[in-house]
Order: sequence, then structure tokens, then C-alpha cells
Amino acid sequence: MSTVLREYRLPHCTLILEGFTTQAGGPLAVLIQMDCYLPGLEQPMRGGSELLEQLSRTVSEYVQNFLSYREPIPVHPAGPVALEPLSQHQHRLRVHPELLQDAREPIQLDLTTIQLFDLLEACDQGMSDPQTLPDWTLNLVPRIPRSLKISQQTVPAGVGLTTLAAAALALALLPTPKIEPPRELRETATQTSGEPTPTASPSPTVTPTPSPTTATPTPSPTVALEPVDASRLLILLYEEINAAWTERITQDMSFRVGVNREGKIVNFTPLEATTGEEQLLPLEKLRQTGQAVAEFRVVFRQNGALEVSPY
Amino acid sequence: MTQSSATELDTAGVLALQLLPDPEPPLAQGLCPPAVAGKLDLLLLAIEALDRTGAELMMMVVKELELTAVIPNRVLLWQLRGANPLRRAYNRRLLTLNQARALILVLVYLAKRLTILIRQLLLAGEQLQQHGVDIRHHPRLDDYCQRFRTHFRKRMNLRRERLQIYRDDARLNLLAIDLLHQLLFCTGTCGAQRLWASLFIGDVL
Repeated sequence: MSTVLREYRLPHCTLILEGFTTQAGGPLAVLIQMDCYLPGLEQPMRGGSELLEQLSRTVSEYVQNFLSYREPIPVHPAGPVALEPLSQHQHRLRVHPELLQDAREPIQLDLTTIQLFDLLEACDQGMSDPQTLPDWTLNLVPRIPRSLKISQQTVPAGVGLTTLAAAALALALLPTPKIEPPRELRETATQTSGEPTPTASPSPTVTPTPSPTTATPTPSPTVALEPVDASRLLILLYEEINAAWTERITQDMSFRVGVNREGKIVNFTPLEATTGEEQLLPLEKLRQTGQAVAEFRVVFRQNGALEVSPY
Repeated sequence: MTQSSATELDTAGVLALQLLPDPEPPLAQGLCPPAVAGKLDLLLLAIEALDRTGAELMMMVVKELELTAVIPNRVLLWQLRGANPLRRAYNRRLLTLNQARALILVLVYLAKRLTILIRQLLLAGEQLQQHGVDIRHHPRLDDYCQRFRTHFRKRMNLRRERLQIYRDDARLNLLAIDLLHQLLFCTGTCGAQRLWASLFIGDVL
């Protein structure tokens, strides 16, 4: 058993690991202490294996977020090793004194992205080195968030089909149009010619508008939904539920959902026997009061897909 | 043709692909979401802006790394680039996992060659920013940004609402420098693994 030193030297960061080997020529197996030299530190950051592990983990998570979202996000802000962005390319590292040797005050340090990269790279070189702490390795598996699966894979097909179905259904319900000149045409005709046009008088539904600037006539409550409304409501409902649904479920569940004019849920009834899992769904949370103007069938699939179709 | 894994795993170079683990949970039909192709294409665009020969080099690197079982020819390489949904010539293709892995290996190989230049440009950018000086005063950085802007505007569909902001030179310069930072992380020892693990989260822009 002998002590060995491993040194990972980069332009802005030097990481020195000191430890024991358990056999001659073998890897550094037990860490005694680590020193990390960074710009702006008078003394190196000194600690044990806990510091090494927390530091490398925090830096790694922070960089992964930065790579994924192209902007930095705070990591473990209340933890023993915290990294928070000050700006797009300025990062504040804080290390709690409990992890540090010979220090009572926490270390706080502002790093540029290049300095942060050097710190990460020093750790990565150590983790990739089979001669250094064989248990200290990088294990990165790409994780796919549920929302991504839905928004990028299921949505195009699902929404496309359901809107097509909605439009087809709504169009089929439309009555055969009566031939009647549009109101605006008749109005402009009256204004421009200055005398009543013969086409305006025979229609009993036309009431003389008090001023030519009146906005579109208010629809009567008995009028059926226009096709454009049904598909618009369907999309609104889909987006609202999709944004609020975060929990996984173990089996498919379908509901009949009534929505008001703004696409908000006003009532819903399960279409099968309930299993108690509907607590995981956001329907109750999204429910508002109001008059239902349209009904949709909403299916929550256990694979994370959401389907909305006209009821 | 390139999607059959049996033929892909014949060459030794393809063993490198296996260092990049399958995502969890598994993807539907093993196809990557469009954002993956988008992110990779933008980083490759930044490489082309850094190195004039970058575009020609890509196919040579594919051969050098023995990845021809996954990307057999230049045509497929360009088709894979065209899978970026922001492109004018977006072909609606979805990358297979191995195609995405192969692009990463090529990208990381090219980025590592350019490590010194990338660091120089980023340091220069930081210094200019500290003193509040415009990047136009650094010829090399200005050159990179200018070439990136040209490539981006020529190939991306600026009529898309999300890309309208990039009609502004300053916004596009910021994107160019952000991509340079991303490339810096690709030059590291674990650059390929880190980039691979980041690809499935977040949007293209």
C-alpha cells in the first residue's frame, strides 16, 4: 500500500487527488484528500471524497442543463455544492464549509463558462481514468421527458386526425345554406347608393342596423357551434390538459368532458368504472363554472399520450 | 437500409456508437424526435462557420471513424442534416439512434480539432464583453459570426415565426456565440456522452 498523486491540469483549473493504492501499480483506490485550484481562490479548495463527489455531480448536472436548454439553470441552490447562473456566461459556485478542510466560511466563486468547462474537464478526466478511483465514473443515460414524447411524436398525428374528424363531423351537421346576400353587402349597397335596394326588404330576418359602424351581430344562444369553433375548442382543450397533465397512470382512462365558450372544462364524467387514478389527472383542477357549449371525448393513455375527439 | 442494426454493427468503428447508451424510456420505433436533428445540425453549422473546409471534411471523418455502415454517402449525410425542422429544405425525416450517434461522433471529432480556436474565440468574446466592445473589433470572431449568419440565413426558414428574431444581426451573433460555448463542451474528454445525454431534452432554439 502506498500513496499516489493524480493531477489533472487545465488552463483554468488544476485538480490534485491524493490517495492510497491497495496493490503496487494498482489504481488510486482510497482518496485521502483533493485539492482544486481555480482562478480567484487564494487557497485551493481542499476536502475529501464527499467534496469530490458533490462537486463533480453538481458541475455535471449544471453543464447537462446548459447543453440541453442552451441556458444555465440553478442546480442544488440549497445543497452543499451549489451552482447558479449570474448571467448567460457567468456562474456562481458555492461550497458549504462542512465539505471543506480548514475552512469555516463557505467558498463563493464566480466562474466564466470557459473556467467552468475546465473544472468539468478536470473531473471528467479523473472519472475516465481507470487508474483513479474506479468507482468514480460518469454514467450519463439520456432521459426522455414525458412531455417531449407527447409534443413531438404523438401530437402531430393525434391532433391532425382529431381535428380532421372534428371538422368532418361539424361540417356534416351544417344545414344546407340558404341563399341570401351577406349583410355587409346589403349595408354597403345602401350606403353607397343612398336608396333602399330591393334585395334588402324581402328578407324578414334583417333588422335595420342603427349605425353602419356596428360590429358583427351577436349570435343567438340557440345557434349551433360553427365548425371553426369546435376545432378551436378542441385544440384549446387539448393544450390545456396536455400542459397540466404531469403524472403517469397505469391504465387508459376516458372521459366525456363539457367545455364552455373559452374552451375551459365545466364538467366531466368518466366513461368506465373509476379506479381512483383519476386523482392523478388534472381535470378537477382545471374545472371552472359556466355553461357547456360542446362536449369532447378525452382519453388519457397509459403510455403518456393524450387524445381529444368530439363526443 | 441503414436502419438494420445487424449490418451496422459489423465494422469496428461502429463499436464507438455503443458507448452512447439508448435513451430511457425507449423511443418509439427507435427514431429520434426532430429536435435532436435540429440541435446537431446547428452545431455542425457552427463548425462550418469556424472552418471553411468543415463541410467537405465531414464525409472524410465519417470514413476515418469507420461509420460508413451508418452514413454510407454524402447524399445521406445531407439528408440527415435536412432533418432539422428549422431548415428551408426540411425533409421530415426522423433520425435513427445510430444515425444521431454517428453525427455526434463526427461533430465531436471536428470540434476537438478546433479546440484551440474555439477557446481563443470565446476568451476574446469574454474580454470584449467585459470592456463593452462590439465583436466587430475582433476580426476572427467577427469573421466567424458573419459566416454563421450567412449560413444560417441561407439554409434556415426565416419565415417561421420562431426564427423571425434572427433577421437581427445581434441576435444571430448571440446564437453563434452560444453554439460556440456548446462546442467547447463537445471538445472535452466526455464530450460525446455529454452532448448525447443532453439532446433529448429541450427544444432546438
